Amino acid sequence: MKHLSHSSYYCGASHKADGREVQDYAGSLVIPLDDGTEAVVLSVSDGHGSKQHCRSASGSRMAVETCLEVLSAYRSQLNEQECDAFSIHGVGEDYCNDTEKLVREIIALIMAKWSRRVLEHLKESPLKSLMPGARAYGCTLLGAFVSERFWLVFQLGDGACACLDRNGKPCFPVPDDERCCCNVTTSMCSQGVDDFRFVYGSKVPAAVMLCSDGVENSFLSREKLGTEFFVPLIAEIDSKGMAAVKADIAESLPLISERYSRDDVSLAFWTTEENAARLAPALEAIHVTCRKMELQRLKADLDYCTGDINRIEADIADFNDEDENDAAELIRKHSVLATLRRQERELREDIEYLETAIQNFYYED
Amino acid sequence: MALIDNRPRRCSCRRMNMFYLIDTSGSMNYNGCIDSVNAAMPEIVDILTDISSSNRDQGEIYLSCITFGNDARMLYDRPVAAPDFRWANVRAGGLTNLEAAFRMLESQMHRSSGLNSEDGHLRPAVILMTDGDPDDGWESALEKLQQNRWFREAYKIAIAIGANAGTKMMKRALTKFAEPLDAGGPMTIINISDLTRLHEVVRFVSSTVSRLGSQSTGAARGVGSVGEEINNAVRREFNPVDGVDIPPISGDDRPWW
Repeated sequence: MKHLSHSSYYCGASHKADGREVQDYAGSLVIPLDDGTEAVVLSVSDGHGSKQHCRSASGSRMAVETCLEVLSAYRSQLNEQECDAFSIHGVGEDYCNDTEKLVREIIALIMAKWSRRVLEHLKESPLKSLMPGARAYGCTLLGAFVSERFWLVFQLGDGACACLDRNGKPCFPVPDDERCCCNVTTSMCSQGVDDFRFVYGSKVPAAVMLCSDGVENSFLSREKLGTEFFVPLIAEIDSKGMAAVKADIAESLPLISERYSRDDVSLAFWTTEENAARLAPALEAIHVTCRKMELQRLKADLDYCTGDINRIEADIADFNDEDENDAAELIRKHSVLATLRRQERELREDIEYLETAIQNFYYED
Repeated sequence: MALIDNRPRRCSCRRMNMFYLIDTSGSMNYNGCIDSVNAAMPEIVDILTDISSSNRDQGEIYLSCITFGNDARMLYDRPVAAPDFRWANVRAGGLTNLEAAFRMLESQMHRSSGLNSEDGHLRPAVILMTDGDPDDGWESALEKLQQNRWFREAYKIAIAIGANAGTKMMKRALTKFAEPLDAGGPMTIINISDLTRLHEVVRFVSSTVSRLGSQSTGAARGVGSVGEEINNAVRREFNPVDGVDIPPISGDDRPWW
C-alpha cells in the first residue's frame, strides 16, 4: 500500500487585503509502524484572527505541530486497536471502551502540550494588554491518524472532515457540534477534552481530507465540498499524478479564497495510490452525475425566479403611481424585483458555466 | 481542468438576514416617532449596502421588514439585498398587534420562505421597535417563535420607544423577546426616552449588528461572543447619553418591568 498525503495552507484574500498574516496551519507526516507498514497523520488548525486572538497564527501552528507529534508518539497503540468497524463519539458523550479512553488520553495530552507551549511563548514575549494570555492564541483543531487497520479523526471547532467510502462516495462522518454554527466556533483557548468529537474504526475509508472553514465556506454545502472539490481532487491523482495535484491545489486554493470565502484556506488529505486508481472511474461518474443534478436544480431555480419576476412585473403594471399608497408599494416591488433580477442573472451565469463544463468533460474524454 | 474550474457558483457568499419589526400603531404618530423611523431607514440601507459590499468575507446582507398595527404586514414580498433596497415611508395607525408580528416573523424564518436559499446563512438579526403595551396574545406567539431554530440563533435587539412606568406590559414583552437563547451573550434592550435620539440609535444598532454579524468567524470565547460584542458596542455608544437607557436585566437585578 503506497500512502499519498499532502497538506497546505494559504493566506485568505481578505487577510491579504488588510495586511494580516495567514492564521491557518496544516501538516501531514508519513510514519513507519512496528509491523513494517506505514501510517499517516494529518492536522489542520484555523486561528480565530480577531483582535483578542492576536497570536492565533502562532496558536494554530503550535496546535498542528503538537497534534502531529502526539499522534506520531501513539502510533503503535493506535495501530494495534481492536475495535468495531466504525464508531462515532459526540461532544460530551461518555468514553465507553478502551479505544475511546485512549483517544481521550491523546487529546488531553495535545491540549496540555499546546497550553504549555502557549505559556512558554507568553513568557518569552508577554502580551502588552491585560487580556487572559491563552485567549490570544485561540484556534480550532482537526487531527487524523490512518493506517491499514485503524483510523481516527477528531475535531474541536469549525472546519470539516470529508471522507470517501470504499465506493468513492463522499461522506462527513465527524458529528456536528451545534455550538459551531453561523460564525461562532469552539476553541482550543476556551474548551476542554470533552468538547472534542471524533470517529474511529477498523474499516478504513478510501480517502480522508481535513480542511478549515475557509475551504468549507467556499461551498454552499458540505455535499458540494465533497462532490465539487474532494471527489475531483482524488480523481485527479490517477489521471495526472500527485505532483500535478499539489500544483493544482497551490493554484486553486488561493483562488477559491479570492472568489468565495475570502478567508484563510488550509487542508490536509490522505489516500493511497491503489485507492486512487481503483476509484477513478467511480469518482468521475459521481462528479458528472452531481453536475448534471446541479444543472437541473439551477434550471428549476431559474424557472421559479423567472416566474416570480413575471408575477411582480404584472403586479407593477396594475399600480397607479399617482396614488400615494401605490407609489410606496411600487418602490417596494421594484426593490424586490431588483434582487430577483440579480439572482436570475447569477443563475443564468451558473447554468452556462455548468453546461460548458459538462460538455468539456465529455470532449476531454 | 483545475480544481478551481469545478465551481459552478460564481459567488457562494453567505447571507445575513436582518429582520425589522416596526410598530406602526397609532401612538407612533406622537412625538414624531414614525417620522424618525422613516428618516432612519434610508440611511440604514446606505450603511448596510456599504457593509455588505466591503465585507464580502462571508456576509451579503438581506433586509426584511414587518410592520404591525391592527395587523402585521410584510412590507417587501421577499428579503431584499441591501444594494437593491429602497425605503418607502410607512404610516402609523391602529392597535399594537405584536402577536401578529411574531407569527409573521416565525413564518418567514423557514427554508421555504424568508430563509429560502439553499444554504449558507449567517446568524440572522431581529430588531424590534415599539412604543406601547402590546395587545393580548403576544406571549403564545412568542413562545412558538422561540421554538424556531433561526429565531433561537438570531441576534435579538429590542428598542423601547419612550418606555415609562405605565408601559409594564411592553417592558415585559421586550424582555421576553430579547432573551438571547442560542445566540448567547447578554440581552440587548435599549430604552429611548429622548425621542430625538431614536434615529441615531436605530442607525447605530443596525450598523453594529450587521457589521459584527456578517464577519467571518468571531470566536471571541466560543458561543455568544458576537452577541456580547454587540451589547458592549451599544453600551459604549449610548450608556452615558441622556435620553438613552440600557436597563440592567440579567443576574440578580430586579426585572425591568
